[in-house]
Amino acid sequence: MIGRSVPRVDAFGKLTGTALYAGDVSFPGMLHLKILRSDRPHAKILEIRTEEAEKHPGVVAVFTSRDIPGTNRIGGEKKDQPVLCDDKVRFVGDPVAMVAAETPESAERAISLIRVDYEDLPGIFSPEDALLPEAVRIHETGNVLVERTVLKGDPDQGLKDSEVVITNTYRTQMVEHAYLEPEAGVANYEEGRLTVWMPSKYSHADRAELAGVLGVPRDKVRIINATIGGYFGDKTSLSPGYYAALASQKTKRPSKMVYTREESFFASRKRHPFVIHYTTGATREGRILAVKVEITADTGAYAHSGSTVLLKSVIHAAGPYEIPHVLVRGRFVYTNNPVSGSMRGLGVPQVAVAHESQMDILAELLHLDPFEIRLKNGLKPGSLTATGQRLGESVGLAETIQKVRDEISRIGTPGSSGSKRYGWGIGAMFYGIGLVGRSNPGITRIEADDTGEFTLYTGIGDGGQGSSTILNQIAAEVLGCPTEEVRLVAGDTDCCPDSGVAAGSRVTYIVGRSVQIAAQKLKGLLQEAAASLIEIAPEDLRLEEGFFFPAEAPHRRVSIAQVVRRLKEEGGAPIGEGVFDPEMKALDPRTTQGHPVGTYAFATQGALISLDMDSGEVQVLCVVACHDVGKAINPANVTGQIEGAVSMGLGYSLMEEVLLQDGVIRNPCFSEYFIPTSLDMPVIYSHLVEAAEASGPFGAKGVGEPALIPTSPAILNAIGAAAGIRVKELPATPEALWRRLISAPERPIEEPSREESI
Amino acid sequence: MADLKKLRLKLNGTWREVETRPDRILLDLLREDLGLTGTKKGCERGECGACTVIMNGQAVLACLIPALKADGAEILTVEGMAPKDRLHPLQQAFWEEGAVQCGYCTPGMLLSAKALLDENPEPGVEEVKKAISGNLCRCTGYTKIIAAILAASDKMHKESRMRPVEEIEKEVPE
Repeated sequence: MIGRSVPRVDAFGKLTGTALYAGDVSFPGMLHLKILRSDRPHAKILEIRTEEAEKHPGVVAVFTSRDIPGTNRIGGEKKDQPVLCDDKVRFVGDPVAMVAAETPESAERAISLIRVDYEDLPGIFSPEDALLPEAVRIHETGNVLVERTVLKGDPDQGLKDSEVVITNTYRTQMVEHAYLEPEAGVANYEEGRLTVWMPSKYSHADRAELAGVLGVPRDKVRIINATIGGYFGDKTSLSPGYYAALASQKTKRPSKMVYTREESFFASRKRHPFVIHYTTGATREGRILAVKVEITADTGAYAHSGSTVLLKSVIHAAGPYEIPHVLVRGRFVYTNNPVSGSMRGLGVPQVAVAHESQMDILAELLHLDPFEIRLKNGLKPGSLTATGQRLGESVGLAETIQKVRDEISRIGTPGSSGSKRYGWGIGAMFYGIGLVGRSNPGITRIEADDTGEFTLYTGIGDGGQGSSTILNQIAAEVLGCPTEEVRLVAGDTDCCPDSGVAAGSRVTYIVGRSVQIAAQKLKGLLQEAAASLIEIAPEDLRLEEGFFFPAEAPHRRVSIAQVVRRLKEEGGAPIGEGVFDPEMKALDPRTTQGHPVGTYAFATQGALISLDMDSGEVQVLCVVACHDVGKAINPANVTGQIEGAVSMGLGYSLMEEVLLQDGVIRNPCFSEYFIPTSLDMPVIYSHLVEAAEASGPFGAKGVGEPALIPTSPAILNAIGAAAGIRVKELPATPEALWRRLISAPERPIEEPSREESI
Repeated sequence: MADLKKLRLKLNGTWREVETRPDRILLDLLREDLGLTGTKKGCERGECGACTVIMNGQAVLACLIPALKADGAEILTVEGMAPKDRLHPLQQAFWEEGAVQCGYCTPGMLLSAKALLDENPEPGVEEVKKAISGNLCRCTGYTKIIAAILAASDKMHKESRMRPVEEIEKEVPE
């Protein structure tokens, strides 16, 4: 079962149109909800007048902050975000009031009848402005959300000892998750309890948060994960399900809210835009002695996942290299821009653009081959990371670099033709699997029933990445049955244990390991019962295809169904529970050192691009992706993650950007915010390295985010290789490149320079 | 509110009569009035392709068509691609090739693909890419979707050479 590309367990409903996404759920007599959002980036709310809206035909209730029974400050890390704004609004799109009406049209009309008196405050639209001493405070705690440092060795001395020092500034842009399913939620109040159907990457956390908003105990709220139309890190915390629950609690009627695409653009969380000052010092032979990195990011109006994203980015900012001296300082700053949150890669795609560009610039300067310089400095088994974590055996970086090198030389580079130049670029990365520096256990449960079938309960709802199939395969492998015989209940807070969040690429490694443990426990119980049934020692039994039998006498077999009945007769419960929380040590606040995660994934990707020197247009023609995933539980699922991530990385490097003007999104639709289409996609060759991780299920680590991280650096380095243009600002749109091409010919790289500090 | 209007359409092989409001779009007629939620709403501006259905043999965006324009039309949605509990060769190929991730683009993708294969049973890669270029997908990078459409085309073409067309049509009523 492990290592086989089993077709997805959840595909049938998605293929036949029977899978129910939250927007497909409806009830008779259901109310429809619309939100009035702030059109000001920063303003005090003086008064909200709702009388006209309340009188509008079809309106059942109008809500402002005063109608929130519980807390009006939420957030997974810092409770700073209102469900409906009270004192002030902090970004264009901040929710101010809500209407519940008999029809969507009536609700829509009614919100236009609500009058809000604002007193405008100065808007702050960049971290630089937010950090000015005279800047107005967006939150009472000040404009810096969080700062983190990683320090290893003596970076100043390391730079002094370096023969070459390069410093560059990289700017990455704000991007949209752009999952195809706009957020939706439906709530139904029955007998004192609320049931909410919504897509969530962490239904247990949403239940806790929502119960707080509603002012009720958690057991009065049930969240059922509807089929999820993609999350990529978003779809948790404030979302339509919260508003539907508020409305249903008050009106005692089923209520539904579905965001339009435009509303989704305004309300959803974004990828943090980063400014990264990066200094690298190395010897003439290309041995990196020191890096100094300074990160400043715009976290937008509220904290959301800012602390997690910053921590991940500082831990990974030195890249997948063993560097003796490292200083990384990062800070996330509030602005009156849209809220940035968690998006696939959690800050690591941003820093990878910087560390991989630095590697190529350095290689070119020192006349080294880009593969060679990476191999020379790359993390190996036993290496020490920037946080002082001693790596174990599961470090397949060198193999991934080597494989990509071989593939690229096999494929070759086309010679220039007409206005087109061709080039290969590579990007390497490492990525800590799971949440960083804190306990993040996965808990799951498996039950057997007396028909001989199994039910696996997990809090994780499949966001499209294939987690349900992977978890099923792990259970089926241990229990010796086909995946179809393991039923899955996922993301229902009433019956599923809290498996933690679907983030940090942790589901296969952490939750998968807990499934393996749960299944082993259940198998142990069944084996004991089978042994007493056959009257043989348990260790002499084998389990295959739904039967226990003595290895020596396969004909004396008993079915799982018989064994379950026996176990129950003996007073046992055919239930196995598993918990796994990887060993870790949070970063010491004083030394900044620690081992924040249980294991790391590694990868290298190579991209072949063509650049039209007349127009600046880049086409990505081929991507070679090589990933150390520990073990591919389902290879087709792994390549599916890689291919999807390549498209997301391609969009990130070349076309995507949320354009803001005074905090207002200027391109909140797909005809102005471009994501890659089928015509933009290169040929993709995926290769897997399996450097088994002893603590993972069957050696597996993770791939969801690692798949994305090297793509953009590879594409940007390919542009450098093709035309000597070093892109330090994303996205590299045709226009941006064209402007570079028509300006005076640039020297391909900076001359060696020395700088003492950043 | 405007008065309800009656219209007749052949939906997934069956003539249906339905009353709807003249301000409805076809997408809401399908989803709200007829309860066929397999057709997805992703943008309501004709930009994402999630609501693609086949209308009189053409792949169209249901969010851009006034419901009343469906009067007299023949419409195929994902629910009508295969008999209950069965899969159309395209659906089967999507499953086998791993072309489904979150699934939100899948119904629209399937219908764009079907319209292509109806017109051009043996398309090349570039023709497939072009046919689905109006259907956005954020999960798959399109690679396995393209592979699935080519695989389905192969399979359908082989089968159609081996077996009488009537027999296949019986299996896969459209």
